[in-house]
Formats: sequence, C-alpha cells, structure tokens
Amino acid sequence: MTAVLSVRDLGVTFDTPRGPARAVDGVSFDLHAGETLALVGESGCGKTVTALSILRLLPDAARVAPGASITYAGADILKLEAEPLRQVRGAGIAMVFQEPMTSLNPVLSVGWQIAETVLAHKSVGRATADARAIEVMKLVGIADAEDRYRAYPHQLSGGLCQRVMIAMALACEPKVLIADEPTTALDVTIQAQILELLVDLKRRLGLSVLLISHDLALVSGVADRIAVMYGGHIVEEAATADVFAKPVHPYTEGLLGAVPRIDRPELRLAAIPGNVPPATEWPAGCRFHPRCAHAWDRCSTGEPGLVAAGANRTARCWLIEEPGRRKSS
Amino acid sequence: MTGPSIRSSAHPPIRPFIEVSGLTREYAAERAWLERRVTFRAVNDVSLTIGRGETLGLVGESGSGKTTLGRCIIRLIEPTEGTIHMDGTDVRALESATLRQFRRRMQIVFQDATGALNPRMRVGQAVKEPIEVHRLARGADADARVATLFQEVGLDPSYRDRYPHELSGGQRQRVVIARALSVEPEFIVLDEPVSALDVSVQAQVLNLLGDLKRKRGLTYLFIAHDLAVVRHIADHVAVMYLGRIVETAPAATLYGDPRHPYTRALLSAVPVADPKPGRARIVLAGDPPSPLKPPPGCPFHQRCFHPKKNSRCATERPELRVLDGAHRVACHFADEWP
Amino acid sequence: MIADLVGSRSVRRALGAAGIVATLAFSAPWLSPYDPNEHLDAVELRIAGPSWHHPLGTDLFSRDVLSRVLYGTRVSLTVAALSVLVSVTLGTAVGMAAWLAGGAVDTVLMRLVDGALAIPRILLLLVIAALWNHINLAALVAILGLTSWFGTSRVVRAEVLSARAREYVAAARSLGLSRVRIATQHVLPNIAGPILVAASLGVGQIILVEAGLSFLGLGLAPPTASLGAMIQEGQSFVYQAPWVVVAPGVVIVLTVLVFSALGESLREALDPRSGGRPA
Repeated sequence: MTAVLSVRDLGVTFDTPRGPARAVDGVSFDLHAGETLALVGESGCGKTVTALSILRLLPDAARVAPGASITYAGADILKLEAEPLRQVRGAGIAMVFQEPMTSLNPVLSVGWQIAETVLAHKSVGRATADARAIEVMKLVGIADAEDRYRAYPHQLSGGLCQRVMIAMALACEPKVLIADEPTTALDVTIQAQILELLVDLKRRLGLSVLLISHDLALVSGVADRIAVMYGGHIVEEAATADVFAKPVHPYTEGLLGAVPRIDRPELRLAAIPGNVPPATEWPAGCRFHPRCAHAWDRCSTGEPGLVAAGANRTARCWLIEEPGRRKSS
Repeated sequence: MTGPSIRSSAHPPIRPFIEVSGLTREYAAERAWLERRVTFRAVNDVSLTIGRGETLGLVGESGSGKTTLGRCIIRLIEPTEGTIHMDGTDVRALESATLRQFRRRMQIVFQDATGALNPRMRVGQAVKEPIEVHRLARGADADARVATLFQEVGLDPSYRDRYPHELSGGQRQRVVIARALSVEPEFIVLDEPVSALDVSVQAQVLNLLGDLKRKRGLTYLFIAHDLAVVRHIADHVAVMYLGRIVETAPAATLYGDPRHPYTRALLSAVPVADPKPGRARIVLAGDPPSPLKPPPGCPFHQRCFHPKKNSRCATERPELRVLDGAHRVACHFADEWP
Repeated sequence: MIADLVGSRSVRRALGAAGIVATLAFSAPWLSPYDPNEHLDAVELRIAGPSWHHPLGTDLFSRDVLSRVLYGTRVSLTVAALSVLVSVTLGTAVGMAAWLAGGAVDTVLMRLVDGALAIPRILLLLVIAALWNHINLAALVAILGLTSWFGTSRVVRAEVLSARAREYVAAARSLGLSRVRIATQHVLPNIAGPILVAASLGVGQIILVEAGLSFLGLGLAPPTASLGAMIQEGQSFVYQAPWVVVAPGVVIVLTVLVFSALGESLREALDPRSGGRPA
C-alpha cells in the first residue's frame, strides 16, 4: 500500500503563561490510499492539533518542531509557499469540522459557498461552478439540491449543514478528507446518517479519510486502522479489529473498558482513575503512568518509544519489553 | 427544617414515589410585533411514575422536550398543565415559601458543571451554602459536613478553597453532585450529567452515581441522549419524541424488545464498540419535525419505516397504550412487527 | 476577582495615575501657594503671565491660577465621585429591583428608563439647573447623580439577565435559596465587574458634564473654583491670557483620559476572553 499522506516526528508547542505546552510530540503515521485511519483520544490528547497542522491551520502561537515533515504528493506541506499551499487545501486535502453551523458563513447561501470553493481552485466560470455545487450537493444526499442551493445555513438543520460542509470539502475532488469529530454535535439518528454517508463516499470516490474522534465505539464501525493518542503521543496504532480484540497499551484497554456498551450492561464500568494532566505538566517517564494499573518504577523514569508490538501494530509501552509485568485484571 | 405537612404522605402504600400526570409545558413561539400569539408544546401531556429507589432513564434527541420535562417535575420551570406528586405531596400546589423548603427533597445535577457553579464562589462555600440556608448545620458542623460530602463524591476536602475554574471538568461535576447531596434529597434529576465529560471520566462519574444511589437509597430521573449510558444506570426507560413519551418499559424489555419504530432506530444507531460486522443498521431518513408544526397523526409517521405503516398513521395519533405489564407504546402497529 | 484586577499591569498603571490625580486634588489646601479666592493685587497681578511666584499665572481678578486649578480639580472630582456613587447605587438598585420584582414592574421600570434615556441629558440638566436658583455642591451631586443612572440601570439589568440565564442561578433556585439571596450572593458578585467599569467611565463623563454646566454658568455659584467655571471666566480674554483657560482645560482632558483608561483596563482585565491572569 502506498501512503498518500505521511506525517513524521510532528511536534507542536504552544507558549502559555504556565510555560510551554507540548500539545503534540513525536507523532508519525501514514495514511494509505483508500483507507480510513482514526485518530482517537480524549480532549487534550493532541488529535485536533495534529489535524490542524496537516493543513497548516494552527494559530500563530503554535510552534512546529523543526524536524517535523508532512509529505503529500511528494512535497513537504510544512515548507510550502502560500500559493501551492492554497492548492493543497481544498483540492488535495479537505477538512470537515465539528460545528457545521458555525463553520458556514451565515449571510451567504450554502450553494454559493460551495461554488466559491470551486472557483477558488478551478479556472471555470460561474455557471460551471454552480452546476458543480449542485452536483456535489446531490452526491452527499441533499434532496432538492437546486432549491437548497439558495438556502442560508440557519434555514437548514444541523445534519443538513454537515452535509453541506462535506459537499464543500468534496467539491474540488480532494484525495484526502480530514473529518474532525464530524458527528459529535449531531443527534444520534443524524449521526448515523452522516457516518453512513462518509463510508459510502469513501468507497465511491476512493478517498483516504483521517477521522478524528473521541468515540471508540463510533470509530469501530468505520475505521480500517486506529491510532490512539494520549498526552500528545500516539500510544498505540493497529488495525481496528486488533485494537478491539487485544489492546496492547493500558490506556487503550482502559478506554475500551470505560465505554458504556449497550450490549453489555454490567453494573460497573472499568473507569481509568484520575484526569488527563494539562499539556504543560506531562509527568516524567511514560505520560500515562500515574493513571496506569500496571505501572512500575521504570515507567516513572524512562519514556518508552513507539515500537512494534506484533504484526502491523505498534505501541508505546514498557510492557512490550517486559510482558510479565502485566497484571491480569 | 421541613414541616410535618410536607413530610406526611397522603396515600403512602398506593401511590408511586414520583407520579406525573398530564404534564404539559407551553411556550410562546417567537413572533413579529402585533402578530397573533402562537404557542407550541415543548412537553405534551406526559404521564410517568418512578418507584422509590428506582432510576427512570429519559431518552430523546435535542428538541424532544426531555430537559424541559425534567425541570418541570422539580418546578424549576412552571408546567402549564398537569399534576406532579412526590411521596404523596402535590408539588404543583406548593406556595413559594413551602416550595423552597420542599426543594431539599428534590435536586438536580446539570450537564454543564461549569455553568452550574458560581464562578466567583469557592466550591466549598457552594456546598456549604445550602446546608446553612436549610439550617441543617452551621459553622464548624457545616464545614465537617462539607468535608464528608467531598470525600463521598471522591474529592479531596482540601479542594474546598478552590474556585471552579481551578478544577477539571470531572471534579466540577463531583462538586455539583456534592452540592445536590448536601441537602439530603430523596429524588435527583440528572440532566445529562456525563455528556460533557471525557470517556474515562464519564465512567468514573457514572460509577459514582450508581454507588450513591445504592448507599443513600436515592431515586433518579436520568436524562440522556446516549442510550448506552442509560443502559448502565436505568431500571426503567422512557423514550421521548417531540414532547411526548412514545415508549416506556423496564430497561431489559426496552432494550431487548423495543416496539416503537423510533426506539428501534435509536437503538440501532448507537455505535457499539465492536468492529465485527453483522449488525443491520436502521438509518432514519430526514430530521425530526419542528415542535412548532407537529405533523398530524403520529408525530413519527414521516420518518417511520414500519412495514405496516398506512394512511391511519398520518391522521390518527396513537395513544400510549399498555402492551404488556409495564411496557407501553404509542404506535398503532406495535405488536405487528414481522 | 480583586486578585485578577490587581494582577493586571494596565489596571495597576491606570489606578496609579488616578491615585496621583486624586492625591493632588485632595491635597489642594496644602499644595496651593495661595488662597484660590483671594484677590492678590488688582493692579500688579491682573492677568499676569506665568512667573516664579505664580507658575500658571493669575486671572482677571488677580487670583493664582495654580491654586484655583488644584481646588477646582478637587471640586470636580468630588462632584464626579459622589454623583457616580449616587447613579451607580440607584442604577444597580433599580436594575436588580426590576429583575427581582419581574413581570409588569420590570416592564414598567424599563420603559420609564427608556423614556428617560430618550430625553437629551444636557437639555434635562439645563432645565433643572435653570429652575434652581443657587446651586451648592449637594444640589449639583443630586442633579448629576439623579440624571445619570438610567444607563447604569440598563447595563445592570442586561447583566442580570445574562447572569440569570446562567445555570448557576437555576442551581441556586433548585437548592431552595431565596430570590434576595440569589440576587446578592450569586448574581451581584458576577456583575460587579461591569458595574465597576461603568462607574470609572462615569467619573470621566461627569467631569465633562460638570465642566459643561459650569461653562454655561449653571454650575456651582461663584467664586467657587471649578474647572469649567475657570474656562468660562477666562474665555473672554483668551488671547491676552491663554494660561487662564489652558491650565484647567489640560487638567480636564488628563483627568477624563485617566478615568477612561481605568475603565478600559478594568473591562479588559475582567473579560474572560482576555485569558485570565497575565503572568
């Protein structure tokens, strides 16, 4: 498989009054052609910052580590000049955000906004752009696309707005779609519609999808591979089935145990103790060790690297070297 | 102090602990100047009961009226019609002074713990204030109670001098729970108490709520949009759609044998943390209709996928009827699934 | 909150500047080289220019301008501070009362305030001042205070409304706290910031209004030194003796600027979006 997008040693630091916050640290992954890779983690784990770095949408206060590279179509996005970067955004890599209502301009009709994206990337006339807008609106399952072209965001429901956002992202036929919590703001039944749509579009258009989510359950039905993030690191990466069958990293294990499951209503959930520390105060050693059930002295002094933990999977944990230390639960 | 008139129960053995009947809350819709007043019903003729020590899970999507219903029951929002009884007391008949005293017995925990705490009040004071207002203790005794409550909800008592913004989201929600417990309530409305929390913290708080219920014999109304969360905590479940309850049953029945098409769709839409294929998903078409213009007939008929659906559904609204014991459904064809 | 404010460098700076102005003004009896109302020498010192003995010169009646400016600032600041105290107290009380009473009382109060706001303030002041024969300090404070609370009451009520929509007020109600307790313990501390901002901006405004009234001859009765009255007295011979007008003018501008800066820095320090406590 060939990688469409390669992220290497990505580090992002924010300067805060409490000192530098290392929001993302040493993150590397490949997104292969036609696959869906999910970046999963709780708030503050660095998944959104990773997604924003790929399109260079980080706020000015962010500093990207000097050794980092993000390779797309043979070029390092981090080193692109303004114009080629603009071409990558939208036409190469497109992004869908969590809040469709606030991501759309309230005073412009939704169809017009989609057509604008087309005009920005293709040397076509207004009529062609409008036709393309209506075409992609139909593609994402918007009924009466011709009428809805003239609708303003506030006249549409949250689910429809998210479809418009997806249509806008797809208008210039990108190779990669980054979806940052695309269903979190939506109701359960609408969430199912949007997920179904993403799966369907990926198959029909041969997209590569980077799905950012906090919800392991949601990701399980959509992703081919999962990268779990904690404390700015990827702590485990493996095929979806492997992650669920036998999580290697204790944090992944903990997350799986903490998710309430409709099919298994046990009385108690296996909660992970404690809280995610702020990015200014990562503990020494393994960043998860204060909350880890298996931790021993090595975990509080040495920081484990991301190493192979079986076929086609990696994890960042000393248990891989010393499996005997794993406590049976 | 609570007067004897409040504590006494008129018919203790017969009535359920919480009994809500015909509850309706109307709102005036936004209108232009001098336009005719239009009202809509956020909660429409809802009746429900909760037994002492039980948890009723109230499930629905945004706009279903579940939050309004929860707040009407404890009279944070005044209902337009209907009756509410708690332990035999007619809650709607309480005058403001007696209502304030009665609030000791019914409490609420909010979804947004940050908004529910006064940003300029130390969290220890936030828990102590109701203790003193209700004259349950004062001075050092009240402080001791605060310390005990902090420990009970899993917070270090040294946190009492902090302001809300100095705590994490999970810790703030623990403070809100401690504050609700400070007046020793019997009934608590939990309005999406874990929706804003991260998964690992959500599990901590859910476990805490379960422990507190068992230890203190509390009765819960647990409002949520997440059916998986409700599955873990509720004894009974009621599903709301467009201001009405469309199905209610003991949890095992509702999750095992749902009869309303909306319940079925909701259940099938819940993601399960299991990548194995094989689950057939029902994906509903369209959005819920606006409560301003509820459709005639069954409120769900436009999105319904029941094979027996016919013209009757578009004209005649199905009443909530008993299907089997405590299982009630508002669907003409609830017992005609293939 | 107080820690937040004192922690802000711009607030500290503005407070310092306001402190200097106030100290100078209220030390007038000790700092002034002369009695501000004494006619020193009607012949030699009639509109005499700045000199070693009279750094800011003298006016038409041979009074020392520096002494008059110091005393005048004291009068203007006193009037402004007391008027703001009256207006903020009244505005807060009315705004809170409107919310506490609710319903019809709220509507009526706020419509009355709207009506009062629709009357140009300067006209209102002119009418009242003209009807009054002899204006002393208390009367001036009353006039200015009683005509400037409408805006504050609007601000307070708007803040109360937004605070009321916050869930901690619902939480307080659910805990069985009384409305008065909710108003004083939960709502008031959360709207104290905007009130403080309104007050410090109000001081600057009232100094201007007071100067305007005095300039029109409707302020404190002469010979009391006030900054506006000094400009009015000096305007007829501004070409021969500009110092008589310039000195009080500069003081007015500086004082208003200082209090505006204080209001702005308070607003910034209290704005949650500004990111809390600067390092």
